[in-house]
Amino acid sequence: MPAFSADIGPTLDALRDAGESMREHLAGANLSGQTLHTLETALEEIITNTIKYGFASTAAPRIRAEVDLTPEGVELRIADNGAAFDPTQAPAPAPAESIEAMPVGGLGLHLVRQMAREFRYERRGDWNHVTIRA
Amino acid sequence: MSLTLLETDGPITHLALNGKLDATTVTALQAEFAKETSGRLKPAIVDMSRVGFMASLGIRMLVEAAKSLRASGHRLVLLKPAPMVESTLTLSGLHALVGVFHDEAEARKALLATS
Repeated sequence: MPAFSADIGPTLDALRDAGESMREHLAGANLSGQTLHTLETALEEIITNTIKYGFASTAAPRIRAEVDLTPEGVELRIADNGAAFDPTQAPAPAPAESIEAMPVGGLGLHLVRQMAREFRYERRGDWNHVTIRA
Repeated sequence: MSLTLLETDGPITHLALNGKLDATTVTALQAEFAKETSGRLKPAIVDMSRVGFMASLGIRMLVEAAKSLRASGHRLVLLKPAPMVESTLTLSGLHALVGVFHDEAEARKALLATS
């Protein structure tokens, strides 16, 4: 049985509630601050991206998140029935040498890629499946 | 998430953010944050010590304000981010491009020397 699981509506308010619920469910799991931070960042960035860009052609949007605690680490799995999109292949923002040159977008998936120990994607049927190991 | 103005009358704007900077809160806060930082057309210190989490949209809000202030010849610096927030600042690249200070006097000195 997962340490946390939730069906999340396709709104930022629902995502915020899911993030709070995940923290509450994992509060007693003795995870490091870094691990919790990685999980919270991944949930926020991947699902924000899906809500903003993934559901234009989806009649009944669905998102599901689960967290498993395993001897090898913590695994966050996120699935959605939006347009096929592999977040592990999103381009990294170009490095900037000044604040004027720094891009204002495209950072979210880059943060997840740097924080996660593993970041995997699979398309199965009409669903995107993303796995993050923290 | 809330924004508290600590100083607006002197040569520097000093304000504090309190709470989570996620997609929901940034959407609600970004217009006020821009008004109180770049809108004041003078150097700004943003106290981050009570920000417990920052997502990429929070970074974006800070970058936009810092860019806008640079266009008017001023800087924005960040004060006392918590370790996990500072880690996100570093991974995003923003840490190296704006000043991040853990001492307010040093932040003020740096701002007044360069703005």
